Amino acid sequence: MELLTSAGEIADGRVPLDAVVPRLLDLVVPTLADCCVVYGDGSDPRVIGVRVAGSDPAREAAIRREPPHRPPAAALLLSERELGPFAARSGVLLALRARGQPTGALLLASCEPNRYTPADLRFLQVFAGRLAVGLDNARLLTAERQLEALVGALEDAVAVLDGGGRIVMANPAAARLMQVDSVEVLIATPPAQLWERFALYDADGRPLAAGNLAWARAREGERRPPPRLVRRIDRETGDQRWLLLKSSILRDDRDRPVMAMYVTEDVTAVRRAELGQRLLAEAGRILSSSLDLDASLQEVVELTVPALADWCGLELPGSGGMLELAAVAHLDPAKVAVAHRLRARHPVQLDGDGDGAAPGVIRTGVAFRMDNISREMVRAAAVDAEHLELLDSLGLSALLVVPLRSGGNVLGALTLVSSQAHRRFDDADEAVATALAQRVADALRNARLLHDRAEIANVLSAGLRPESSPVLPGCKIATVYRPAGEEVQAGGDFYDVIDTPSGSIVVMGDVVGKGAPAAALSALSRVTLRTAGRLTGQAAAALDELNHALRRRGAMSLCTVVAIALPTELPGTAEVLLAGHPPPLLVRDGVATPLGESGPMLGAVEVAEWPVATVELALDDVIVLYTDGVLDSILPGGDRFGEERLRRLVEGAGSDVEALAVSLTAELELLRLRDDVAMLAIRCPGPPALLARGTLSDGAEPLLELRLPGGPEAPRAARHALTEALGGRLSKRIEGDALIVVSELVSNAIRHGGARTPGADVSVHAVLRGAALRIEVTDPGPGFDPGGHGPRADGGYGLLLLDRMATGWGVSGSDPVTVWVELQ
Amino acid sequence: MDPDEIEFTVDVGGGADGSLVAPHGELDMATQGELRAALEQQAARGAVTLDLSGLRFLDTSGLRLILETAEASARDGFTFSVLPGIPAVQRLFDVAGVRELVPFADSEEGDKP
Repeated sequence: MELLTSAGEIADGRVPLDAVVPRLLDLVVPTLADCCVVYGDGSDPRVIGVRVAGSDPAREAAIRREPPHRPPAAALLLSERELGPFAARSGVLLALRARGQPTGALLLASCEPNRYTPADLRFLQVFAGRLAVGLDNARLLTAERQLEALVGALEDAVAVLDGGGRIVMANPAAARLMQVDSVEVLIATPPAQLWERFALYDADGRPLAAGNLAWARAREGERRPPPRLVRRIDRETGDQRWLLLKSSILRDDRDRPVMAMYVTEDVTAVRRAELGQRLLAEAGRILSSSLDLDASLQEVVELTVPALADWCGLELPGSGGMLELAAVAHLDPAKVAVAHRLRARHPVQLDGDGDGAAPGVIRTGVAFRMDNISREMVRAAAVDAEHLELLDSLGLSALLVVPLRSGGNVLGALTLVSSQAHRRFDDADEAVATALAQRVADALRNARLLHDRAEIANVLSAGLRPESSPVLPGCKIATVYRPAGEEVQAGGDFYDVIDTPSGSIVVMGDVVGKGAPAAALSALSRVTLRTAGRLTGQAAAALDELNHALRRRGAMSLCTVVAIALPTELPGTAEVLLAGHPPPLLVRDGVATPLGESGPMLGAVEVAEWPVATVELALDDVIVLYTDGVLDSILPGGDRFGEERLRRLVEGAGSDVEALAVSLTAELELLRLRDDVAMLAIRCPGPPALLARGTLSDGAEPLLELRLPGGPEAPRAARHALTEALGGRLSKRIEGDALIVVSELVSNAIRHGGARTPGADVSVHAVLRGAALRIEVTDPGPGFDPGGHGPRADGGYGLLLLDRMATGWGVSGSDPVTVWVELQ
Repeated sequence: MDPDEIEFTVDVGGGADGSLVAPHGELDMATQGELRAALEQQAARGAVTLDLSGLRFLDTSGLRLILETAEASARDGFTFSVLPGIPAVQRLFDVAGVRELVPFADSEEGDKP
């Protein structure tokens, strides 16, 4: 009985297999046998343990080499022959059975003959049964320990919950994840209590209900629960983690969930990087795809909610030294209005100290972070009860303000606020926010550049607007000009009367587009036509040059133009060129006739020819140029103004161009404009005057007579010669301007005037009278090269400079061509 | 002193962060190509600071290059700033009405060296 008790102790002990086998052998040898062998089960029947009385390693090794015995169906006495290798006189083979299955065999052998009798078999079988259970437990324990070691080494947190929702097994990673000291503590604590210290949110930022805890799936009865992404915030530390929960449910025979295993992966770093990259990519797309910056900014701040924050505001310095909330987004859309109300009631001064973090961030360019904002702190910051109520309703628990920085300037601030208790912004959040702010700032800066350009376009095209009646000696001109754009007081329509050596060219154009970009394009178009027209005296060359300028500009820069080269005397032949523009009307004896034959719009094709229509002009003929904005205006009834109404209006005015302008202006009051509107009517009672020559050429002191070989070195040579010739006699400013002017003129002669190579000369003459300087640059011509398709490096600025620096300038001759400029 | 003796040169890689491109001499149609190459090379590295202080002369060939570089920086995403030059050089930006298009380093932050 003592033996059976000892065997039971083996069975009950929680000892691993490698410790149980020696104990078993100790128990049996020599008490029950001189030799004992333990064999494994059917799948692996090898010797697990062997013991020979008196310790005989050589014999033990020999026994291990023998073919193993398999468990017998019942206890079996062995004959001496069967016991041969054991050098024993009697023996018994017993089956080891546990959980109804054979788990191995036990062989006992003795040097005594007949040591074991059939009467002993029953006892021995019971004894073997006890040992078998002990071995089996030990084996299970070993397997469990191996599994434990395996799971314990996993980086993912593993927790197994039973049907009652208690943790029955977990690994150290699970303990770390739940921020408890050990697996034992983890197992001892109910999961609901463990999760209490965290706030949980789903991937869309919605809080997870208490009954929907992370480790509570087993009760939901889902067959194959999909992985779930959970954002977890430690209520104490504010630590934010993204967890990916994968679960599998173990079911019993009746398909009831028995256990659930959770593998929880901490994907915070991956998720952060992914969210951050997606946020930035999306923001980049939004900011680059639209010209409507306000709408883009709003879209961008909305992106950050809830990925980065619960509310997000974009603050820009506005008028009167105040900060303006340019865009705001909140997890709860209803609170957006609260944010605006807050700002309206409590304006923030850019240089104020007590107005929150944004002004400081904008002034210093240093990001600001604040965690654990308590209600007390909010209360202290509130100026009155209503302010406190507004602040409270927004929710404020952590704050991150980053500067909008672009090109070394801080243009504003991006404010991110978390309303979730205990959430705090960390370095990774700040990195994403900073990158986002940078993109917003770059977009703002670009938009400002565009705005500045529009301002410049305004300035450039200011010349269009006030010049309501361009003067052409001998002619009467009346105009109507009405930009449709609200932001820019100059539109895409333009007109001009260009004096050239061979007569005057009247042009009108309409660039495709509206607002600032159209105004800018319109300014470019006008300057280009004017320049090329003045230099060449040819309408076709002017159109060709503008076509190249628009092609070079890219981005579908398109412009329609009508150009009419007026004769120098009447009667005479006028040339009409149309580039996608509505045909001008010739009014003679009260009848209007369209003129011209349309060619392609400028900027649409690389190389084009515009048909030149000729018309014989007589005294008192009127030509009316207009843009399609006139035709496309909408009457009060919804009808288009159209060609027919315009024709009646024009014919009604007869040869009185001013009356035409007055009646069109009156008509426009009633119309709804869909585009800019321009009209120019010209009546030619006599020959349009030729461009007057400059006045300085007579009685002035010759300063410089220079012939330079062409090529890129020529501008520099001309400048140096002029500097030397002036000898400091003019003011620094005039001398500086003169150097720029001579550089531009010589460069222009080289680029366009046929003096590209040293073989062709450029002449530079300069005369001085008092403080006035006249420079003439002559190149071999043909003046302007309309066939030249190469890049025109000056981009149109050269002529603009001449216009601004010179007191007068002009062109004379066509082959060779001389450009003169006077400075004073 | 013969002004012809002063050769146009471009120093690349100076400044605190090595982004400096500093042309010396006269920038016009003959020399803008050399500066353009230097700017493009530096732009490819992500940042360009163009120091105009060594320029004695600038015309619209150079002006155009600077404006194109400013546009390219907005489009291609490199940082571009310009250290202003002598008054005669700065005047060109004012007369052309493009001063606001050029990211001058002094106009906003006052961190002129």
